[in-house]
Amino acid sequence: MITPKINIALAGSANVGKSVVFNHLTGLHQHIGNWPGKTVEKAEGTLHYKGYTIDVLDLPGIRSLSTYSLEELITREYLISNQSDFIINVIDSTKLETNLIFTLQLLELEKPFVLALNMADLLKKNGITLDSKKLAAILGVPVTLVSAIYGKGLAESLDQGISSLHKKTKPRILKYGKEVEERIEQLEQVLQNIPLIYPTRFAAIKLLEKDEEIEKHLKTAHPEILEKAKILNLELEKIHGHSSSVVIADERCLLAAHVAKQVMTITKPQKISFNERLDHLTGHKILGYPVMLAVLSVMFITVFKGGAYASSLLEQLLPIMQTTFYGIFGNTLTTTLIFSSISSIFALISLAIPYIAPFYFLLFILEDLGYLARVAYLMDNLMHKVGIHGKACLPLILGFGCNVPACLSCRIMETQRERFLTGLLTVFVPCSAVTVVVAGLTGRFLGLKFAFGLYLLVFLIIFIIGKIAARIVPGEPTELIMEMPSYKLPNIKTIALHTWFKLKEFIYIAGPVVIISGIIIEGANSVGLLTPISNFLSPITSAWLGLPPATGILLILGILRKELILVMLASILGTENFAAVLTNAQILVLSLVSMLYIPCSATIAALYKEFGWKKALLITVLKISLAIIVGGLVFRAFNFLQ
Amino acid sequence: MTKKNAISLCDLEKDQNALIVAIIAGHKSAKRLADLGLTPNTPIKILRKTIFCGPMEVQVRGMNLVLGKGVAAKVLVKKS
Ligand SMILES: Nc1nc2c(ncn2[C@@H]2O[C@H](COP(=O)(O)OP(=O)(O)OP(=O)(O)O)[C@@H](O)[C@H]2O)c(=O)[nH]1
Ligand SMILES: [Mg+2]
Repeated sequence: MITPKINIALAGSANVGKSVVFNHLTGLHQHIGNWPGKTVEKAEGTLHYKGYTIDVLDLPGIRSLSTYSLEELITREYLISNQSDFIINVIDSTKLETNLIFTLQLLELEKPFVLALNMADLLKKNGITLDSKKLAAILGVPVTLVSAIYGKGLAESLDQGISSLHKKTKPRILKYGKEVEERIEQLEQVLQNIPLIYPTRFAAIKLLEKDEEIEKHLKTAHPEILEKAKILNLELEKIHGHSSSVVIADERCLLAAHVAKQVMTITKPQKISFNERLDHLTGHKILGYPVMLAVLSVMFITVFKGGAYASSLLEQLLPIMQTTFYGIFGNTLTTTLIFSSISSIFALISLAIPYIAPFYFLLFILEDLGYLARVAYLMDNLMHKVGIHGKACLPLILGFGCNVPACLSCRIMETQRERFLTGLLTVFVPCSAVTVVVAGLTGRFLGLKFAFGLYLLVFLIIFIIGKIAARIVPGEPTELIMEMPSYKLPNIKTIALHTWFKLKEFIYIAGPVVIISGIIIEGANSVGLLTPISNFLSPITSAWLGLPPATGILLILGILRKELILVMLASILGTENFAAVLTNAQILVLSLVSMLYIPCSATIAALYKEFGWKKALLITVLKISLAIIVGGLVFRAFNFLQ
Repeated sequence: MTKKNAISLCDLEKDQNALIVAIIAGHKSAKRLADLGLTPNTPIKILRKTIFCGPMEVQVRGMNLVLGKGVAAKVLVKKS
């Protein structure tokens, strides 16, 4: 039978390259990077291959089918109720033993799958040789060596999966130790005639693991089975001296080690590798911190200095463009209107891209290298002071790019409480759009020192809010447990591509908004609405914050997108030389207010989605009030000190 | 093996090797750690620690794991 349409899913542990495979197959650009937990929601894409239309699903990484965090639950639920024709189980082949734990559970689920041993390009450097044929024979599933970033081996994996569709071979069952197997068998017998969504053997094993989901499932209809399981669990506990759920996990580890040993040979390299040296330095108990500060400072300075330079170069193009444009098309009402749109888009490009491009490029390098996980490690102690743990650094750092994915990324935190606390702090992190405003105002006209000062002030505010929130929000803090990724050489080509995608996305989304905002301002101006709006807000904007009243409309537009504040300021004032029309205090306060005053509309939507409307509203009100209070105080302090 | 002369993972120094004796935690945390391969009788090595016995990086079953202070305290080990 020929199926023209096939559904496949990518599954495996975290950080094994599933999203790289997904991107390669579908041509989409899912977030990739070298730390566990980037993909928090399933993503879909399509591929046309050898006459088939293949729907590909990218899933969050999951280590075991008995996991607790939100993104892991998604994968578990999908795999159990799955509708895909086959699964590609992606594995980091340099960590075969630990990755096999997931594979063993897929076998237990009795779903058709193929195994893709990814990162094959790193095997040699790590002194590992793998016998993929032997592994295929042991597991009873097709196995291929794959290098996803180079696109190698993926076609074979697909071919194997497709040809296995017609064969209907069942994956092999690997056996645990005798005591465990006996009890699995006993449970299988009682489970035999009960309709379940899982295979009986899988259900039996999960019962021995005291899996809550399956216990809930059987509780009302078949309490006798739970009783039986309880007795068997106690027997196991007596033999081993610890909980039966731990016994099963242990047996699974042993089985994985046993399989790995048969197919893998390691010759440890004699020299201490570069990675180890780097790890030694960046994770050093004392030196690690100055290194981290240095890395972040270099990034800050590059973005601000480099951005300002590139921005001023680009700006010089505008008059040239203007004369050429009018020279060609003549100076009529239509051409003036068209050129005003062109110049606002140009303002967007010249004000934003010079900062956003290097920022993302550097962030992606750190991400792909694996440095972000080291930051999480180093910052764990500090994060505990605000009621969360080191992993929260990952959404916080992503927040410097854009708060929206950062909010979703809070799902890597284990409890509801920590997700909320992390989300709360994340939306205070100045995103790249805010950076554009701060860099284009304070950085450019007051200097790097003041910009740096603003960031420090915001970090201090984040810390204080965290301290207070950790006390108010009820619940116990949990502890950091994270797999540490090994350092990898960043792939510059992929990084450049992803930076380019970010820029393209930025222009596509922000461009129309800028044009429409320009029209709105023009329109409001022509019907005489601009002054009433400005006047309405002026008790706050000019009386308290000391800003020109015209900034009121900017701050309203800024709710749409933060960079509009700067771009529209340029178009309202008719110049990008803001120092000519704003005082130093105004430049500083406008920057600070932009950093704090409200999450942008997309972030509010993300907050609503993740935490509900009450919390979204609460955070919004909190940010607005803080911006007003702190902005006014800074304005007065600055004037006082001058 | 007895739990008597076991020490907490926190008491180990950088580069020391040990054998896990027990994990003193509730059902959920114990299971979570077990899923990561932290089960009794497993060898464990301290790769590095931060100051204040903050989080530490350990190697278990060929994998590098970061454990916060609170978890590390729950893992009882015996030096080897
Ligand atoms: N050297 C090498 N690196 C790879 C390969 N495939 C992926 N990587 C790197 O592995 C890291 C993780 O890749 P992702 O695709 O983000 O991993 P994932 O499995 O989607 O991770 P989660 O979404 O966090 O579960 C990235 O830094 C990739 O650049 C490969 O074939 N060779
Ligand atoms: Mg992914």
